Amino acid sequence: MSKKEVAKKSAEVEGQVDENKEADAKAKAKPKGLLRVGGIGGVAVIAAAVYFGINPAAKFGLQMALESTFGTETEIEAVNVSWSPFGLTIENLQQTDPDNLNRNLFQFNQAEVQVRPLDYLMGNTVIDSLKVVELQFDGARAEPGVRIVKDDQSADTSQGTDSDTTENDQQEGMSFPSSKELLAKADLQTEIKAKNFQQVWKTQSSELKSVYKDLPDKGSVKSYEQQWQEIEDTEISSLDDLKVLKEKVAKLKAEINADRLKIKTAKAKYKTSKAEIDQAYNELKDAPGQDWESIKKTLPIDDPNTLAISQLLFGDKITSYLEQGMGFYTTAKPYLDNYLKNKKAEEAEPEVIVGENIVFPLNDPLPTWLIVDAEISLTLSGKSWLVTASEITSESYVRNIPGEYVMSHVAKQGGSINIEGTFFAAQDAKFTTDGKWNMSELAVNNYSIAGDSDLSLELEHGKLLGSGTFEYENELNSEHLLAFSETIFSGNGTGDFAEILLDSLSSVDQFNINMNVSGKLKSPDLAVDSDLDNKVNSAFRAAVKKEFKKVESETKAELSQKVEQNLTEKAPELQKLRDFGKDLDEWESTLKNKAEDKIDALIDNKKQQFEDKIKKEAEDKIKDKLEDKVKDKLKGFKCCE
Amino acid sequence: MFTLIAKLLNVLNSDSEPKHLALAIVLAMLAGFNSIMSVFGVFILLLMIVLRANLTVFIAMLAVFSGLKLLFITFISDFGGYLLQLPSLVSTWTELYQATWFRFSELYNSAVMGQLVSSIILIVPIYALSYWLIVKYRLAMKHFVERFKIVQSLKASKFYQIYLSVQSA
Repeated sequence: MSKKEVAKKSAEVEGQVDENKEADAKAKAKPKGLLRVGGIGGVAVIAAAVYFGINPAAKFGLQMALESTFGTETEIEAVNVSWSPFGLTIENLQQTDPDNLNRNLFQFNQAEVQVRPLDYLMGNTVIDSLKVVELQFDGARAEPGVRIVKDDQSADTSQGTDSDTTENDQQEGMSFPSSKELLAKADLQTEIKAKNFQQVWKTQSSELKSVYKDLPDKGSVKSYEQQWQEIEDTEISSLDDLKVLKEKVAKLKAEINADRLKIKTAKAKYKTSKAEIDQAYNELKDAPGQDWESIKKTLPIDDPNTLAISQLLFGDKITSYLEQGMGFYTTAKPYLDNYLKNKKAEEAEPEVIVGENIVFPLNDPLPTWLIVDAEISLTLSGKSWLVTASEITSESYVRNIPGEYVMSHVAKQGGSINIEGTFFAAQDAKFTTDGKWNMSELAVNNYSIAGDSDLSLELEHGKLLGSGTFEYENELNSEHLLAFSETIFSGNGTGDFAEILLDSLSSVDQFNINMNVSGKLKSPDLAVDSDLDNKVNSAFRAAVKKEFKKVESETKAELSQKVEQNLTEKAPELQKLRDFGKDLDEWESTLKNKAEDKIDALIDNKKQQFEDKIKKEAEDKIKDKLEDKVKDKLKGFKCCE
Repeated sequence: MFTLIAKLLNVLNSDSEPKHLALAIVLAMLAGFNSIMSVFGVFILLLMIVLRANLTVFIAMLAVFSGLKLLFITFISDFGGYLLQLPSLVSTWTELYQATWFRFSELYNSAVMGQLVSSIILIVPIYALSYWLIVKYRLAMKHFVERFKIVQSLKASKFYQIYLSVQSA
């Protein structure tokens, strides 16, 4: 065996030994299990990271979302995520008001939200439970908030608005309106009719002047007289004379007829113009009376009983509550609209679908957003309220379940307010709600009713009972009854109204108010009726009558003055107009004397005279001839010789 | 591509247990049929991390099964539609449809339903077949294949160099 062969053989043996070792190692190695320990560890680490990191992540996400929505700083103390049921607990949230960085748009101590994450991922925000503790709007901030997104609106704007409001309030004093104020507010017929009279006068007088120009003048009449005289004086001695006379007469007749036609036209025009001017004149004369009647209708001048003192006193307060409600709505509306717009845009995105979607009926369909149950404690106008609600959504039609809400307030000094109702948001975006409220033995202390430069009035003490119903379907329709008892009023005032009011209220210890708020939400009609009116009005009656008599005489005098001005200016011209009428009458009477039948009669007379003359001459001639003939015949005749 | 095939051969020739390789193939089939970007895809990825399935085999076979799915998608979709509209199952589907997870996973879609049911039906056959093939390959095919001239020429090629580098890595 050569060395090479030995080496080869030993190598084979070594290799065989290695293979045997590997085989032994394989045989000894434990079969690997199905689970990968490292993998499980990795998943556990990821799960732990998610579990412990989700709270700060949720806080960061929520903060960013709110800051992006409102454009101002959001402060959140902590956010805790609960896994079953899945939800968030938010501690001490403060959202800075974009319009005023010193105040919060809203804030709360704690909010617990239970959401359905899978439904959220599918585009339905479903909150099974919402609990908000100590929700507050427009609260003061300890430090001014930071603006995240630059906004043109600033705190100055709101301050400006406040000062404007104050100014407006100051303008509305509780005093009688002056005659000038009444005339300024009224849509005066006197002024309208005065303008109309001026216009009619201008038009008609201009038209009459043009007619007047065409009328014959006094020289024409003299000429007719002369021609007439000539015709009368004309002696007809021949047929030629008669022919000439006839021509003269025809000429005179034509001239007179033409002038008569002009006068006839002028008279017709005068008649219509005079009628129109008379009408405008009479309307102007009557206008002050009509204006006064109209002013009286808008103000309780004749009947002071109709003065709604309660409306004057409580109208502004009620309106301010309605405005507060509308304020919440208008603040939330842009954000809601934006949310719904984004939702619609998301829904509108086309999906690439492979296969076919086979949809089955859902027992519990879900709207775009829904709060199944909510419980919110909030502070409004210094009063603590507890609001519980269910099925809050803008798409009630999806589940066909109306939303329900209950708002209750229990006062520390006793008494409570309870408001409950239902609402339904239909598919055509029609929103309807109806409900009722009641108030029991609520103590009212130091309640400011009016506070301006003319009158500051406070309900120092009183007890309040109330109830009401409301419904909204396109328009609001609500009726409310408030019964005050054990009332004590106090206040200060300047002016007749204020003094009378304060005197009268000092003797009032109970009164009821009936309110009816109806119409469009943005501009509701408010009707307030109260037995307080009757109680206070008896004191008002005398003062009001006296004051309004004065106003009446002043107003009437001012209206009369407006009429007189117009009529006095036109007096000379009106006289001229009347004179013009007389002139026309004279013309007519003059020309009547030269009427055609008279001219014809004159001609006939002249003709008759001429014929008589000719006849007489002929008879005389025949008579002479006959006498001559008889004389000739009798020349040789002798009788009885 | 060459690297992936080389890795695949390396795994087949390695001491990895056939059951782990077969499991990777099954998971690849599930992920490939149901799409990796679906609820089931995420679930299968999680299984991949937790179970001792071979990642190389999974990736390689995921491409294969994704291609097969595209090839048979019409048939799969029709099958899913047939199941969803089967009168005897409508009440079951209606009940399941009430559950949010059912709607979220889009199982009401005929293609999604078809993919899921097909892949579940194929779990056992694919596992068994893969296991059997891997074992057979190792016992007989490995030496048999290596005797082919084409294999020997392959060994001399760049591809074989990659294979070796993968094996040594």
